[in-house]
Amino acid sequence: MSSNSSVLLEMRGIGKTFPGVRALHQIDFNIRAGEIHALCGENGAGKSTMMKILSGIYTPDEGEILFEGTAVQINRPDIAQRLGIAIIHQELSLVPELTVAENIFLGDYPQRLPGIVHWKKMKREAQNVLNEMGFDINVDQPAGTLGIAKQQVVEIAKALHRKAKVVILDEPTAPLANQDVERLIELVNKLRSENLGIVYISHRLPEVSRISDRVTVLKDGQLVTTRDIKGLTRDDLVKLMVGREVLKMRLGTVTDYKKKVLSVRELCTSKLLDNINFDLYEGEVLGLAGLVGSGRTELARAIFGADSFTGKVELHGKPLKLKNPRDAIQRGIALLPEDRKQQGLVLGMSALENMTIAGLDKFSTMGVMKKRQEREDGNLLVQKLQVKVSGLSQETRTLSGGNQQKLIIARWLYNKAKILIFDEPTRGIDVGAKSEIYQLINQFVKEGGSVIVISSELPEVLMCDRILIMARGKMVLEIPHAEASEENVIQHML
Amino acid sequence: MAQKQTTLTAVQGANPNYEILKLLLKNYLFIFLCLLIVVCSFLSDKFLTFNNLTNVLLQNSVISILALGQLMVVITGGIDLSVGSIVAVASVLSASFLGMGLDPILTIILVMLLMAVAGAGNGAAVAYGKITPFVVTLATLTIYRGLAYIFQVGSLVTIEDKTFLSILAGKTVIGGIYTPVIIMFIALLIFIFILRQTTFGRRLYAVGGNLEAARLAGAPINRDIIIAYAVSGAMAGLGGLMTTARLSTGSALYGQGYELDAIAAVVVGGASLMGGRGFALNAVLGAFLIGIIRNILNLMGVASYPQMVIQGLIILIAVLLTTMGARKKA
Repeated sequence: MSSNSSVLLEMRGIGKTFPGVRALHQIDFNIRAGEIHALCGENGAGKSTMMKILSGIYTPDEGEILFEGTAVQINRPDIAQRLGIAIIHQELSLVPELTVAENIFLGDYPQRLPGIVHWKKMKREAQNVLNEMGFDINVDQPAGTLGIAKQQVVEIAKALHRKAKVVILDEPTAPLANQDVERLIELVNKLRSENLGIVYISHRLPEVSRISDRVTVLKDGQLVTTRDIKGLTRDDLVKLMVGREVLKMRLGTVTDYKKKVLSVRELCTSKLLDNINFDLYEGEVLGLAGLVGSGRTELARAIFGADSFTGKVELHGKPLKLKNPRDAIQRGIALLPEDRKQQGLVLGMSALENMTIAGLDKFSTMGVMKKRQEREDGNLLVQKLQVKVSGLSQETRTLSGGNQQKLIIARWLYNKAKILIFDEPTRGIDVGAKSEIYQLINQFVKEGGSVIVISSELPEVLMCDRILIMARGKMVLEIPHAEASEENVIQHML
Repeated sequence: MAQKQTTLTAVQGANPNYEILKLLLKNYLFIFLCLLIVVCSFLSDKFLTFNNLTNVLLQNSVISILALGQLMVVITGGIDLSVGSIVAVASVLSASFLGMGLDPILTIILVMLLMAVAGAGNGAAVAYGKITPFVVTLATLTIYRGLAYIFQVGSLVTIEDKTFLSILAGKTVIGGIYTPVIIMFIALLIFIFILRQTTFGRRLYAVGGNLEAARLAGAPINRDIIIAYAVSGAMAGLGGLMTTARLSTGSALYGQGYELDAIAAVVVGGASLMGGRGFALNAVLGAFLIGIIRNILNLMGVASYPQMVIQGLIILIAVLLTTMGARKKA
């Protein structure tokens, strides 16, 4: 793209701070008409915060936003919509029960008389939008019955119908199969040729190199660079995104592969998992790679007793009955869920209460708690894990992601867990706390524990002793650390 | 990197002004109650008399007891609409048990146990049936009321058992204070203890604060929920027994609308209907706040319809204050 094509949207010096974390710092960013602008960065780099600012979900603490040259305040989602900024989230926001046409027109149905819907016109126009995009979708079908790829198309149609000038796509290809990816890329190219500005957020670097014109890289909430994609190799991109210190870390280094701790045989779930077999050894950090939806999280939840499954799980050679998480916890298996706020923590409770919730019997007799002992134990844990809290009674909600994660680690250490299953151990955690988490993992396995690390961040998976790759609910491949590279892992994930 | 870490550390300074504000917000109910009593003593000279005050205590002891049970359910994120009907069932059953010549103490224990079972039914439907608490207890509100009418065969029976009456509605040696007030205070102490000092109490807050997180932390969530509803049922049963003794008659008509009074007390007491928040003392203070306002309106001769309007407004204001307090804290 020529660099003098008009700038649609510009962010200047944008900053945003959440309690305990500086999410964005002095970000400059612009989108031109007729370009695909890729936005790259690791999880927690600030991409989604930035897009939430553009779509009016967050308001920035500092900086300004210009839309077509005039300063605007986007402090509500409907303002973003009116300006012509459309965001298509990873989790699609269609109303599954309504038809495709209704979803496209949601909120501004064409009317015959005020309050009377002009159904015919609505269907016709919806069909037109979809046809122009080159897709054949029945507009009378409930949106929920469409596959994920077509739902995405409907979302884009909705944006086009609203005369969006800037379309933000957040990881659009993550849940798609290969042929659907191609069609989506075609569509995105078409939108570019119609002079829309497109922000393309993706982890898939080949895709980014292939379709985008410019790329902006974020790291830990700071702008690394914005430049033309031309002349930028994939390695350059990775280097920009990741930096060096994280790559140097190594998780595990097990010496003895004899002591089998956990063995999973023929594990299946009704929805996704299909005949999963693997072993976990003492002192090992096992990496679990795969795309979103490949079954990593489902596997973790099954082993933890959170979801039902068929198959066999053995702990130290003895069959394990897993009816609920309590069964797993009592046998020393612990899950550190991906979504800490929804599944890990009770945000309204104190740091202390969150650490001790799974080990209440450790400081109680006949159900009566010894609160002084609880505080003493809590203080030791906070010191050991270097959790930064103003006091044990600080509300968990106000802690940073890294400290929240440490609280959950503390919970399981307190509970004398022997197997920790981390689902995205460092999602939403800044670099400093990240390496602390890694050190805690290393210390844990050194003391004889075993760890499973599920991660979407390839560098993180590549640090592990052994890497298992999952795709579409199946275990595809096992690679030892020495032989693992980004290429061969990605290859098998797809 | 070291520099970054210091900027990322989240340590909140302790601003003295902020601390005072926090203290005020934390104890706003108590302060509000004191102010109310001062104001009331000016509004009517009958208010601060011994007779009136013991009367207020007595009148609100049943609702306070119901509120304590209700609080437990509310902390789990639920609601129990059936307590008013359970009051009626307990009343009718106790009257007929006594009529059959059952031992009064055994009657009290048996009725409370049965009402715990009724409550546990609510809890099981919520925990295992995965039905919204509102719907479950709305259904049992009707069911239990219906059962009360069914159990009440024939005409009302007057209860003459002296032991029963003196335990549940007698005068004590302590300055003429009635037993219901004593029972209420004992229940309050027990609830404070359970909610603050037991693992069960701690888990209740976790269950209400984040059910999934509590489950994944290994809490026996279904059992805890069922126990909470069972306790609410038992407390409603106790309330029913006390009402029965006070009027020395068993009747299926008792307890109409008590569930709303209990919920109002809990909410005025600062508990969140979303779960995870609430204190036993505050629930009782909430009940008394409403009770005192009702009392002063009566003393001033305000008619009952305007009274209802005022009472509703008070609930709104109290909840507004609570949520403002919560927002300040966050």
